[in-house]
Amino acid sequence: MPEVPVGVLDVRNLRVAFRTHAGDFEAVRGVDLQIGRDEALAVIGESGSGKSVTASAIMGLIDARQARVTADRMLLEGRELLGLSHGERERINGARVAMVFQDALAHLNPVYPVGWQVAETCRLHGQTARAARARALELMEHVGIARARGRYDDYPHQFSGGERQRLLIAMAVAMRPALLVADEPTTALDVSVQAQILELLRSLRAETGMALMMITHDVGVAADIADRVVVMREGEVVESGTVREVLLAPRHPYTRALLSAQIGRAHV
Amino acid sequence: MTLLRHDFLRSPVAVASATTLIAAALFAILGPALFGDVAGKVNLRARNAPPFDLHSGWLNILGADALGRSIVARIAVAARNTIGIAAAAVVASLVVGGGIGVLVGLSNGRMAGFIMRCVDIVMSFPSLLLALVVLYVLSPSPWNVVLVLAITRMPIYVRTARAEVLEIRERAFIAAARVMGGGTRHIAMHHVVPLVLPTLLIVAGLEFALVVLAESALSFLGMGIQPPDMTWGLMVSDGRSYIATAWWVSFWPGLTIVLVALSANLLANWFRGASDPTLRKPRKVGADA
Repeated sequence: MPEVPVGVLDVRNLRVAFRTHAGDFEAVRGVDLQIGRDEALAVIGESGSGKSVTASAIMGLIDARQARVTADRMLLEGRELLGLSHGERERINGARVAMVFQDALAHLNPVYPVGWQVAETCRLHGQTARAARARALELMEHVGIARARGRYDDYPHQFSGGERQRLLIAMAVAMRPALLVADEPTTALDVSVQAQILELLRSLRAETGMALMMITHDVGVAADIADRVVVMREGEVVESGTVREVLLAPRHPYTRALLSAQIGRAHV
Repeated sequence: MTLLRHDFLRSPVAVASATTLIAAALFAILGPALFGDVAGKVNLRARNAPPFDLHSGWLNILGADALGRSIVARIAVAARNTIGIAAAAVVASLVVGGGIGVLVGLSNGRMAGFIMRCVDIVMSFPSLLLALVVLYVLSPSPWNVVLVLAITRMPIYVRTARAEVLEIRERAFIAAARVMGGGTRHIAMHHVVPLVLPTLLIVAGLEFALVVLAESALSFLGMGIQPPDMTWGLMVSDGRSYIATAWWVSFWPGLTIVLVALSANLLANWFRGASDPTLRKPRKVGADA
């Protein structure tokens, strides 16, 4: 694997073992990931391949009482993430690394107006309420919420699926993170909205130079947005390389099986 | 807040309930000053005077009790003890019980299990018996009645709050808040408590009626408020001996308890609907992305 010179994310030998009654279950077994500045990495694989658990481990979302997360190293912009205190972790989350999810409605608090929630990221990282409000309005317009000013105080259920995903993206990019982790952000959307969201992510990346880790089971999405691809299966990386290498000339039989399962792969 | 006020004014039930509660609160504040003397004035010629008979003066419009004392005046004066004790007990158990429930639900460690078993013990103990023993050991002063009622009614808040928190803390928006850098304290105060609070307020509204009745049971057994102090519950039990011949002695204070308890319930129920944005009448629906 080629060494990436200036890395945003450098993960070596990541393991996540869930404690169960029948002993430990390793959902992620020795995953290596590197993401360079301004780079988009797609992690593809079927359900249960450990893609989302890898993302949760990077975000520090895994409950230490339920699972053990170990790695030789997990560096974000050169800083070790494992073993950080809660306070240190909270300063990094949202500010240097942020995440968007598949089910945007479930990830927005139903009892708060959306503007409040977009502003929340800014407030958590030390902005005053007034500055956060101004920034949230600016972000909502920027991610393409029509008439953002009039809808600042509306609630999540009053927005369409595509708009909710835009709001989640606005929350995530509020502090201009170095890395955005996107866990199947387009899976729940129809194809035309999916294309709009991918376009939004692309334009945000072009503006800010933010790196992207896109988790998806859709090879088409990976081909559309990523520079490099990592293929995961049963908690292990089976193949990695540039989009052209992996998708046009897959070496691993599993990758070939995954590609042949995609409709319209001829367009890749 | 303006939204909440707007919804409030559009709901006649909420306005009526709030008006009843405000009137009761006004009686609680002003009653003893306005009617304090009249309420204690014995008039043997008006013993068990029937309601809507103005021969013995307009103060006996709702009748008079066994000593000829005005029932209207006594209800107004008793409002302070009844509402004061019930409100203090409900607020105390809501704040302490709800707080414990949220903390237990968020931590869920060994200590949490211990606290929940203690709550189970309080819950499984016959609360009236516990109250009687405590009030026998301490003296049956109003503050001790509040203390006893607050402790015996606390488990329901702890259990409700904990059950809600266990569900809420697994919801996706908690993970989203964590990803954006929200700490445990922030998540508890801004994402958990606002979702638990409406449920707890509804429980409190229901409990208010129960606490009024529990206080009257204690007074009836002689371990609650002592005469010449009065409460609505005590007035109901005073009228028990005359229920066959003079129903109004028990009826009016009983009706007052029902009205106040019902208003608390309805207001709590309105708040549940109003605090949930998806149940609120939509003002406008968002356009497509």
